[in-house]
Amino acid sequence: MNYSEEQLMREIQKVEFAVVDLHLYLDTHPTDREALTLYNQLAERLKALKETFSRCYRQLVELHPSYQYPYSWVAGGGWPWTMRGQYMCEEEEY
Amino acid sequence: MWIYEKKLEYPVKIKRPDPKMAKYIITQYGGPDGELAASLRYLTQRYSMPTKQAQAVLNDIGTEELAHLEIVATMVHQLLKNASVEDIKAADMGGYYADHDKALFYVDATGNPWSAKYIQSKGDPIADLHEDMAAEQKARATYEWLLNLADDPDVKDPLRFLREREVVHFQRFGEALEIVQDHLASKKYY
Repeated sequence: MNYSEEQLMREIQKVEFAVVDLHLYLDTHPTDREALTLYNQLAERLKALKETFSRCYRQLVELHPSYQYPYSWVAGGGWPWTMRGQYMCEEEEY
Repeated sequence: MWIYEKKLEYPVKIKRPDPKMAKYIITQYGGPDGELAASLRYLTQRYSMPTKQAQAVLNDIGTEELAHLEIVATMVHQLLKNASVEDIKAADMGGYYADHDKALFYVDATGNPWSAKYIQSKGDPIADLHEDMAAEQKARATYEWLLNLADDPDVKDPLRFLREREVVHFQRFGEALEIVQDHLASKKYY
């Protein structure tokens, strides 16, 4: 499936929500095999989505490889608290 | 160590400035039941937890609260960013503006600066986990009062997400408490 930058970020946030929630659940249920299997499936999907995002658009995770020039940690996209960081790309700087 | 990800845990896109709402929501940034207090409380209590599960819960919820702190900060920032000084004055936020302009600072809804007095780290895991469960309920209640004060769907949506996470955290702390109680009870037979 092809995603725009905003759609891909939404998908990452959706999958990550499930992973975060399962992660906390496993903290108190480390022997729940079913939950661990689900956690691993979703964590693999999340990892792949983040890799796609960082290859297509910009570095997402600190200390991970940065595939664009100039250094996309700084040059790519806005910081999360800015509207630009939220992919309202029609506004250059709000 | 922590690794930063250049995104929010939940999207925030507030288009309409509203300094009055900023003044209320900032309490979840630097107020007694806010995200800074939550994160710092859990991250400092984790060192004296007696079981691996309780250590994990404190570590991981303390970490998620940092992501929530960033969501709350983003909301306040966007609510203030394009507000006029007139609107800020009308929202009774002139005092804050005099001290900080539109910068983020750790205060509650009435301007009191954040204090370590809001939190405790007792060295007694039963006492600490009860405090943590109460803290989650107080934060949940604060988000409900904020939802009563809000009308913009762009503001209500992330507030609802944050409220729901408090409910999940309360549940996990309750389970950690049970695990710690069993652990302490079993030790007595040695």
